[in-house]
Amino acid sequence: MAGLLQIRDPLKTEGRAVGIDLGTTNSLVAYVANGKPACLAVDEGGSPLLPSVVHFSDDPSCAGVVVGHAARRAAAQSPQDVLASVKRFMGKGAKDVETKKLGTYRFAERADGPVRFIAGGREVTPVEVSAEILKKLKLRAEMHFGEAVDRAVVTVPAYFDDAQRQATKDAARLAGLEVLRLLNEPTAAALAYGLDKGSQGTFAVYDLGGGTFDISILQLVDGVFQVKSTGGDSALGGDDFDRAIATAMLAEAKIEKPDPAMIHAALVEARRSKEALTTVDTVTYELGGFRRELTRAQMNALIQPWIAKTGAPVRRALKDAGHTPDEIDGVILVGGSTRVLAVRDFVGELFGKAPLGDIDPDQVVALGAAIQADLLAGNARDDVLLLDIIPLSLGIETMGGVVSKLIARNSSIPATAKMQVTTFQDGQTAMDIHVLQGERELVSDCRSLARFKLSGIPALASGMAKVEITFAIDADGILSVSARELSTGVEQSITVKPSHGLSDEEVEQMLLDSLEHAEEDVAARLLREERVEVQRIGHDARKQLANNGKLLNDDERAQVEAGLAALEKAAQSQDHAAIAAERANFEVAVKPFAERIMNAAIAKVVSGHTMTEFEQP
Amino acid sequence: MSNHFELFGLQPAFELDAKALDSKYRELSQQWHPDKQTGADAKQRLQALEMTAQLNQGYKTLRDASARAAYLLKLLGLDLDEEGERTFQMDAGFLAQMLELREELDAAKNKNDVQRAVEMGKQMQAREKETHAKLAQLFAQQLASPEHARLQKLGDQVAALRYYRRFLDEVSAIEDEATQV
Repeated sequence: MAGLLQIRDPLKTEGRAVGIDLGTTNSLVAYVANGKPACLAVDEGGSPLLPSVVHFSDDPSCAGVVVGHAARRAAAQSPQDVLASVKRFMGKGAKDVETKKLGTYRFAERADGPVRFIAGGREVTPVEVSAEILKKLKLRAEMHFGEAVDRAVVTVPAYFDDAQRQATKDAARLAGLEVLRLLNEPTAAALAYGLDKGSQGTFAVYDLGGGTFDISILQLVDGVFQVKSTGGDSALGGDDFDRAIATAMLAEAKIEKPDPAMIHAALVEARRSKEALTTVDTVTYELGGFRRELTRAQMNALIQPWIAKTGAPVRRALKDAGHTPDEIDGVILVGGSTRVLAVRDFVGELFGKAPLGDIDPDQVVALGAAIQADLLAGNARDDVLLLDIIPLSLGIETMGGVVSKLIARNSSIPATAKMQVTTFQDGQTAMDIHVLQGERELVSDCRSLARFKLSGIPALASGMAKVEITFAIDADGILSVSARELSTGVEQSITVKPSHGLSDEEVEQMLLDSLEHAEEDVAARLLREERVEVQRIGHDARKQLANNGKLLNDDERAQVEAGLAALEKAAQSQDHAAIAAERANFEVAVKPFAERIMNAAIAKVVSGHTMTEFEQP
Repeated sequence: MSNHFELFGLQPAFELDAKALDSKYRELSQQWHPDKQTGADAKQRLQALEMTAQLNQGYKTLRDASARAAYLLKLLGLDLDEEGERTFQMDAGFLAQMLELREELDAAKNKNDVQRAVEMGKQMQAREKETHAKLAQLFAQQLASPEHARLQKLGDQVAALRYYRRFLDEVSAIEDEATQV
């Protein structure tokens, strides 16, 4: 397994680390100050909620991209250029069932690849749309702090599969954020509650957002948050309520073929009515001049089938965790859709106790993410640790179209697993490895994550050549797979790229604009990592020269500058090993100067103190 | 690389104090989890990551009776997975009995007789529990004084557990399906 589990050296930047809840409906950014997490104001009127809505305009007079409330307002005029709830499409293919639902989206006609919207006269992917949301959050945070924000814990629904996680990471990278961790939303919520109350026990987190439903069972003991099981539905949420209500409204109003503007109007009325019915019994809605009343009971009847759909995953998660509902000490509600009274009633009935709701369900995930960002940025509190799990089993295809599981769902991460397979034909010299995710037995019922080929197997009788497959899942829940022929040591390894994700070239193209880096094959990734490292070194060195240049004489200064120029030139090459070598040279060459600067800095700090003060314990 | 029992400071045995294992797992995770190594150098962090993956795997194996039994059996010299369950000689009478029970369960499923399926599941759980008791005794004896004949007997029992487990999974699936509607 050596080498497959990889650590990433976090870029030693000075920017802040924040927690981001990239939600279907709203997105938030939070940070920890003085041990307390708080959400930042990110949109009009100091709201901590940034509607996850992006307006792509083809009007060159305005800057082109608008995010948040302003974008939502523009939806009335140009519904198809305004993209909302794109989280539902993260990591999804162009023909995914998600694209068939009621909505105002205009999809590009594609047979394969990721979903693409047409907005503002161009094609955009869900990853790019999400990156725009993240960019705005980053910018707002930077304005708040007056300094760079370049690292974040970004939350994802626990039930997100590998493709959806990869897509989220791609979006963050496009936005210029290093992802410290992809954190499961329910885990984040529990973290916010746990630290707040210092509680112990077994908790259920019921998270019903705009587009996703998650249920997690966690145990909190001695500061360790151990996720026991998780389940959910990555395509179920408040949006389904809105669509059910809107569909009924359109039918009542006898509008048979609604145009996008009418669909948009119906969805807006549906949401407004849904929200109002959490406090009043009856609302009046208006649609194309048609007015009618909607009672809470009528609405409940419309959305009840969707609410009931959350029951099965809850029961299964409880069973997986080995608990009965009455063993749950508390139920934490997360997500705006848990404001709907019928949802609260359903949860209360399911667990036989009233759910907790004392932290704002819209903010709780971001607050938890901020806590984790703070922990991972090095402000580790000795007493807190998160032990998370993967939501879906991972395996490979074996003979007969059957999936052989290597890592079972609800396994703690990081994790590794190995399996031996053999050739099945005489003289076989290559083997296709098909990586799958899901609980079903048959390949056709599971999600295909990747395929790759191991070639260079010695030609032997069938069953004689042994290939060892190794899976490694990192702390973000992202999978790497390697295959090695045991007699020759021929090896292939990949970080799994989702079959429905963006192609490497596409990501590359997007990344070129933002000078960020993506993951594809290992060599290319190493190359990009080296280049980023060189960038960082260049940035640091220039800063040191500017601030501490007086510690060097002219010759030394010229020497450092020349070395830096040579290093940056080397970084243009395609050979990551050559860049690494040049980087090592540079680091050795500047070491004496770095030490001098370090000593000067220490001298500055300790001046005014005697050395003995520091030597005494 | 130490074995799973050593990893958690335990003596190899089938009987296990689950609470003590939980607490040791938490303690070791606090020590080794990559999140706790943010200040360490690359080599240490990689080591911590591999250690954590090992801890997770060990914990999962030991925490589950069936997996623990198979693992302990392997330590004692009989690897069911290597032999392949199909080639491991199971008692023909046992196999026939399991086949019969599976057919009965399928029949209950086809008739949507969830109650019958649940009932069969309860009986199977009782058998599983009995086998656990047997295994505890046999493993203790085998660890004290290894005998080849006993190892085969253990193999039978551990393999039987897998059949029970698969049966119980099927019962769960039937239950799940019934509650979804």
